[in-house]
Amino acid sequence: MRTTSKIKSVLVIAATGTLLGIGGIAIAAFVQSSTAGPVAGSAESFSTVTVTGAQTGILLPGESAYVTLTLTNPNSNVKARLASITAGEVVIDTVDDSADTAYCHDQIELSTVGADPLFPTLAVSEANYPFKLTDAVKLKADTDIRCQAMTFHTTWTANFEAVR
Amino acid sequence: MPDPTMAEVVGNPNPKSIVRLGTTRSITVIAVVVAAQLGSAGLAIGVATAAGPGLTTVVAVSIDGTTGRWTPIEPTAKASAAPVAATAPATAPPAPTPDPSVVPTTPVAPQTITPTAASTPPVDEPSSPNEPEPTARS
Repeated sequence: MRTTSKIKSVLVIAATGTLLGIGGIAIAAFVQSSTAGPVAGSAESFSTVTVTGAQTGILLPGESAYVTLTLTNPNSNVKARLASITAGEVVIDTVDDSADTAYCHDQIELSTVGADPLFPTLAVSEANYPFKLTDAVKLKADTDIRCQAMTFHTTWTANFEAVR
Repeated sequence: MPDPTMAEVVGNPNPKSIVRLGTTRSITVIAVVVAAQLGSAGLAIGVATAAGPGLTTVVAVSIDGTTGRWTPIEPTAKASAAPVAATAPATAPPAPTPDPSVVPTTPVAPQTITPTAASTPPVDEPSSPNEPEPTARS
């Protein structure tokens, strides 16, 4: 008799747990779908934000140039918040004497200190948002003529976050 | 006959309060299961909520730059180097010039002399010594 009661109890508990489990999943699915809108499930899509950039001016020793990034959010479902921006590397493309490449590479400094203090949140499908980094590229004051008329490029990395 | 699911709690000051142990256990287990299910459901909601803002994308951009031209700090360093290379080939040509001048003079000298010497052989002419006029011509 006791054994039968225990079995009954276990069965009742198992049935209850199963029902509640299904109910819990249903609740989760309901809440999730209502949060995500037309997108079902937790895997929200977020396409890469488009970033182009340009540097202002031709540098002479001791001068700094602005870098302006143009941001475009191609996502029609979420906003894109600029979370961080970091300076990458300097690559010397051409210099009078290739033996001076290493020297000239070290004469260029990158900085994000002058970036706009407020990182923007791009609206849905917002295009061509300008983001300026003041004095982002600097040619050291003691740079000698070996580096004149050289061409180079700098790399920058922007990190975006999807927000509602 | 006493109910097997009912028992008196030992040491209970109130002997009238009897606890249904089996029912209590069942309720406890059910409560645990419910809590676990709701907890997992809440976790799922939390994950779904966190998944939205957690979506990130990293973009790398390359920007071109150039430097201008400025006055050299030490112009003599490169200026002195260039003339040295320029003067070296300039001084070399004068040496060969004497050679061509020598070459033409050597053949000319014998040839100019030869005709005069050849003209002199007409020694046959003295065979007529009666006429001193030919000597006056030369």
